[in-house]
Amino acid sequence: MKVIIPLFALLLLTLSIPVTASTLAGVVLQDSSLHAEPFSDAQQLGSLAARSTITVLQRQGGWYQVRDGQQREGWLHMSRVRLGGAASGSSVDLQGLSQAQRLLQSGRSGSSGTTVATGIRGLDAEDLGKASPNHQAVRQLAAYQADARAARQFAELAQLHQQSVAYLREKK
Amino acid sequence: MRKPSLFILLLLPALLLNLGQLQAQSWDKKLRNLDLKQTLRTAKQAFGEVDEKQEIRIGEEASAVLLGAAPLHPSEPLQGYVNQVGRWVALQSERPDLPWKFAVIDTSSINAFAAPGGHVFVTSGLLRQLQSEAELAGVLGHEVAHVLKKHHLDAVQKSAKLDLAGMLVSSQVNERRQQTLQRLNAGFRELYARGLDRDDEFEADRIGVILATRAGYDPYGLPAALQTLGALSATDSDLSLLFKTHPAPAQRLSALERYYPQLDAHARQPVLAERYHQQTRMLR
Repeated sequence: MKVIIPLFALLLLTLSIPVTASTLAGVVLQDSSLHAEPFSDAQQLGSLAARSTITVLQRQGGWYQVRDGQQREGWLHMSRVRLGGAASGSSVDLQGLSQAQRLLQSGRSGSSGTTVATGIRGLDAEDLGKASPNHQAVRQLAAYQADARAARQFAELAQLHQQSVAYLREKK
Repeated sequence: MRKPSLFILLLLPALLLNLGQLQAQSWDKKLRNLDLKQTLRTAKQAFGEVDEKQEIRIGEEASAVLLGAAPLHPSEPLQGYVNQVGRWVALQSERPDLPWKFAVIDTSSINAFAAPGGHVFVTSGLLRQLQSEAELAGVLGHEVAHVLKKHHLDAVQKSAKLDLAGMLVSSQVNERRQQTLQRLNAGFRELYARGLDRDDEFEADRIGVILATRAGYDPYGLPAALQTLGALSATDSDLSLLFKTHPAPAQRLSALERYYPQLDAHARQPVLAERYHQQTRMLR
């Protein structure tokens, strides 16, 4: 047991590091600096051109740790990146560029994006349109409910501390 | 301050009517019958305001539509986990005492839904895409915001031209009640297939980020989830309803980006990737 627990902890730790299970490609939205650390006043390691593709290694707050085509690693703010596009790590190839452009123009990645593995049925507009109300399932919901006390204990377990933050006022 | 005074003004005719009737009968018999609560409710209903009990009842009908289209996920621990995260997030709102109910619906589609009165649904397909509890908190915060702002209640009332407040009154005879419920169901079927106004979605994003931050999570959970969704193939059938009913993830990210400087003070708050992966392991 003494060996298993640290091993398990190590496994959990590894899970927490990458952004997703598989490393994701991203596109740089505008000319940006690559930072040594996830802070805007951190040392600048170089620059990344708009539309270049990068590989995202992990996220910390609003920053992604990325690797560019020249194998340079550093931090880039999330607002400078859109995930998606061709698999990268190399410099922009033709496919990557067209992917990047599509992403920038439509806000959506093309058909070569990650495909979602499915085993069960989907739920589309048609399914909803012909849905026959299931009241029995609605009654079932109460069985899963968490009361305020349980929710507070659950938050405490993970050391989530309540913060006082005002709602964002809409900026046009 | 404008609202209460207007409300009293609207209430006056109802009160005067009661006072008028008072003269015809003995004072003390009538005083017993003058139920102020009932009078208030009647006045509200005449002007289309739905009380909380009715809101919950309407939300149950909306939920019945969603659950008629996809089943609940069978894992009780998973349902319990999502309820604890959701309730903790909802506790940070101005309606902490609603009987909040969260549920995972078992479908490969990537989506989440809200129904009036504190009902929130997230698909197992979406849970598979998320990477941390902070992301889940952001997504649930977005749905909680739809409930807080009564987006679905207002939309279904508008589009189906339903007098929701006047409906579902217990005094209604059964037949009329049945008709009412059918119209309500049809209204929600249509609304969930069509989606809310885009501005409602942007508003829910702004509120969702703050609720998750107040709950102590990393504020970038919702933006990170939107980044992941944006990277998925737009042609994937599991995304068709989400993309049909919401602005594109890139647009939602652009709308949120202007607020990032306000979030950075909280950027070091926990992400809880380990707990998330542990609690959702049955989906992988």
